[in-house]
Amino acid sequence: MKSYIEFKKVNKEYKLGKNRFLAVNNIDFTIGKGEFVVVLGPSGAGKSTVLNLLGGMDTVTSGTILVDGKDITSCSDRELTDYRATDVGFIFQFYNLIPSLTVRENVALVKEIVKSTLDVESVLESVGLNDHRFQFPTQLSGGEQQRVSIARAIFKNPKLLLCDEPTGALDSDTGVVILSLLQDMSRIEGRTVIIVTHNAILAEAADKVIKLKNGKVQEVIFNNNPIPVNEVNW
Amino acid sequence: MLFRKMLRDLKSNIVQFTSIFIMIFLGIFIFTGMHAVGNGMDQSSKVFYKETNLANATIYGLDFTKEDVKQLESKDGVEKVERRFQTNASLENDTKTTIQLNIVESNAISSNHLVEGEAFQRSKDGIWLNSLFAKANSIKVGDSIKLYVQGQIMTKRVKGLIINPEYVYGVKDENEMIPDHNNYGYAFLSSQDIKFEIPFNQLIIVTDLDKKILEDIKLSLFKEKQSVLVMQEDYSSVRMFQNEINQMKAMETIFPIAFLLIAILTTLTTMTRITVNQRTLIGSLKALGFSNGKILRHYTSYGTFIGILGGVLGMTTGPIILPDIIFSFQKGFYTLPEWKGIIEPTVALIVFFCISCCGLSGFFACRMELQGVAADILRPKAPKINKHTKLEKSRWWNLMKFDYQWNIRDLLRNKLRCAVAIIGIFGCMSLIICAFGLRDTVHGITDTAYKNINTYDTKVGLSEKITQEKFLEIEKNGYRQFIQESAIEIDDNGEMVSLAMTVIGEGDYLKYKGIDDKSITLPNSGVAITNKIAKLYDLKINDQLKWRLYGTDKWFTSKIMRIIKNPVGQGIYISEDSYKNMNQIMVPTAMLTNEETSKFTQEEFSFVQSKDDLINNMDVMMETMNAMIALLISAAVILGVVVLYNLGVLSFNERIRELATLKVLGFQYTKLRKILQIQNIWITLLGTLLGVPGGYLLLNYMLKYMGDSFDLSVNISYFSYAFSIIGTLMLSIGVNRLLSRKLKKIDMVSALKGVE
Repeated sequence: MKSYIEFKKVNKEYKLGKNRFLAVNNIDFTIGKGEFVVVLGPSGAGKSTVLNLLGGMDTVTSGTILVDGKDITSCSDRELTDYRATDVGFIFQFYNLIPSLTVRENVALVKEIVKSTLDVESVLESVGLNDHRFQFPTQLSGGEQQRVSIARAIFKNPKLLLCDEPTGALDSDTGVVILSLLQDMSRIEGRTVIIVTHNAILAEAADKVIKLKNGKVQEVIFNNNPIPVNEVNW
Repeated sequence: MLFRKMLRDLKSNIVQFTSIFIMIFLGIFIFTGMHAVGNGMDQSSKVFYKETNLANATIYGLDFTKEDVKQLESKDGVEKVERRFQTNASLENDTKTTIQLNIVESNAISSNHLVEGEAFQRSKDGIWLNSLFAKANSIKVGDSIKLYVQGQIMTKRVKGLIINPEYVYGVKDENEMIPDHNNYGYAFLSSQDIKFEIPFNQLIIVTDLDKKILEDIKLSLFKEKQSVLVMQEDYSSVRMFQNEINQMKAMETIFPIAFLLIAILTTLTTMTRITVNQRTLIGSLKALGFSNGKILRHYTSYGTFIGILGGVLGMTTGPIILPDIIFSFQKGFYTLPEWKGIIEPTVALIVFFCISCCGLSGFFACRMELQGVAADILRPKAPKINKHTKLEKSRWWNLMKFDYQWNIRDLLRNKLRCAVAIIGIFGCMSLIICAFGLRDTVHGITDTAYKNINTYDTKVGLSEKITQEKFLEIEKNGYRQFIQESAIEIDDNGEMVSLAMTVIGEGDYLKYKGIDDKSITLPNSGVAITNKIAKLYDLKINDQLKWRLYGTDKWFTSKIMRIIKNPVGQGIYISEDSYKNMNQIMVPTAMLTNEETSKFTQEEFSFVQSKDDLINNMDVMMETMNAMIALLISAAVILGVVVLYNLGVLSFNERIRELATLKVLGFQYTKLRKILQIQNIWITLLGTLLGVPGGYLLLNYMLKYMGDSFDLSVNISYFSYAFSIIGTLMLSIGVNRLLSRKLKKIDMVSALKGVE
């Protein structure tokens, strides 16, 4: 399979006062199109940094990241913003919805920046939020809020979904529902989905598992027979 | 320890607290400064009046004798009486000048304040000259000056330079608004120094009797003489200065209000945010065993600390700096031996009150968070339930773009913040409009008074002693319009009010206009009054006006036929024909002409006044006024910038997470800036719109205190309106640009990491 995402010798250095430390240390890996990938590792391993670099929210210290053949490390600020707007859908641990907008408006606001979007109603339908369209985020449960966040991410029809601990703030039952929703995004709709988590159990459901430790790739596991999320033994 | 926490909190909210500090500082600065000005003028003039024993009343008449003085002094309540002879003179080498000569017997009443040279002594030969006139004409102590007095030349040595309490505001006549020290001055001579018999025409009196009693005494003593009584408060100098003091005192409260209100409201919004953010901390403190009182005191200390800082700094600098600026302007109008800003201790109470208000806003903000037990407070507050407003249910809500929806909800959810911003812009706009309007209005006076109404070039006073032949000769000598200017009394429902009356002879130098700005001719019967007089005494067209010439007993009842709009020269105007119809003969006191001033040097002319000099004086005053206008505008700009920036930062910090989210979602910088800008523009537009009538009213309020001799109506040009509106909008956009730089600095990663 042709690689869709490629990390080549990527380094990310942070300065903390006088100290410098490498959050990401000379990382190489590839991800194919439509893969359901889990990035695993203890906290501080550099998982989120990898995701932020890939999402164009942060810039590398050295190395290159290719997404669909495009080198995003050489993009200008403006181009990165466009990249985030059209190519990437983000899902965060804390949802990051706009509290003063309704569910529907939170999703529809993407229209402001992306021309070709899906239909709002059908996206809300697909995440099961049709009944909550006119409610505000604060009136919803955590799981429901995360679904709004997923709806917002897929509304622009991105090829790439980046999820940073999407179930970190949810109870496990709700978490399973959310994760299977994300898995469907990959299985059924053919999107590339990358999930960052410290929950090793999820590994069984992924096509590929990238294990990070101390900013380095420790191991890449290919899973030839991933099982659906709801069949994983939690 | 809590004090240290407060200092650190102040530091992390540096923008808000700096703006609170600036507002309090400016508010207190202007308040105490203007108070020092008004109060200082009041006190300084009172000291001056007391030091020089300013007469409480003056009786004008003819040939007062020593016997008259004795009789008047013998009355109960009359302390002291002195005779004085007042007449006009001019410098021999410069006949354009007018010097009011005072020949006095002892100068114990309304005595002179010595500036330079020897003090007045009755036994000494010489002249005591007004110091400002002397300076303007380069006359020094010891110089000899030649004066034209009643057709004779008099040579006198200048013994001393003086100022006199009756000339604090010393102008030649009603049309002159600004003293012209080049052309008008006064001097004192001792009666012992005069060889001829002096026809004393004034009695100056020290007394504590009121006008009614004095009027009766005057009538009983001088029945056969024509005489007029004028009380101290009606002296034009005293009245004008009192008006000025009132005007300063009126500004003392109106201007700082905006600043202090904004300071207090900003403290309230800032403290509310701090206490909401520190909710769990408040809970922890409570759990640690801090009493409610102690916590409340801690949050009260923020506002109090800043309040004391700004208040004390404002109170110590305002009364020193502001009087300097204002007095330099006042000195063009008024002459006092000493100008000093003086503050009353009661001012400290008001300053204390403002500081308390700031402190209290922290108190109330904290009390909202303190309700309940420690465990309750430690738990995060249930998020505010968002409700749909009516607007959102309407059909066109969904047609609105996201930026609008977001901003409208944000405003509705932060009503206090939004109100503070609108008030701030309103204040800023009002001040700017008021400043420009002041300029336009005063500019308008010059145009209306000296270009539209009075179209002559020169006004020449005719001496009382002019002979019939001379008069006919003058009449034939060119195109002249004669007028008679007299003092009259009107009966305002039983109360006697003194006013000026002008009888206008044939000619077309004077072009009056009505309230509707249409030209008016004076009627052949009845009288015309100025708009200000109509307002002051509640008179209308067709009302009957009962009046008499000052010092006479014959009452006239005239119908008011016209109302004239005149910025200066308030009073009653009668045409010569109408005056004739009352069986009165016009006795011209002055004439108007287009000829040059240098033509009128003979003794039959008591004074010469060039209109160009009047206009020039106005222009000089305008320049000083520009400094005040600049001051007003800078205050306005500071107010606007501080309020907008401060609230911008506040709302920015509140929405930083949302902004970071939008940035992650791929909103371009320019788009985000536009979203942030919309709200500011709305607020600015609303504040500006409100500020237009606000500025109008503020100016109107200020003009009301200009005194009874001026009739100034608010006159703001379209240019000023446009300039103020555009200026305020630019200010808003500029502040927004400044704020949007923070957008670039949003670190998406850390902003989204965790909820605090």
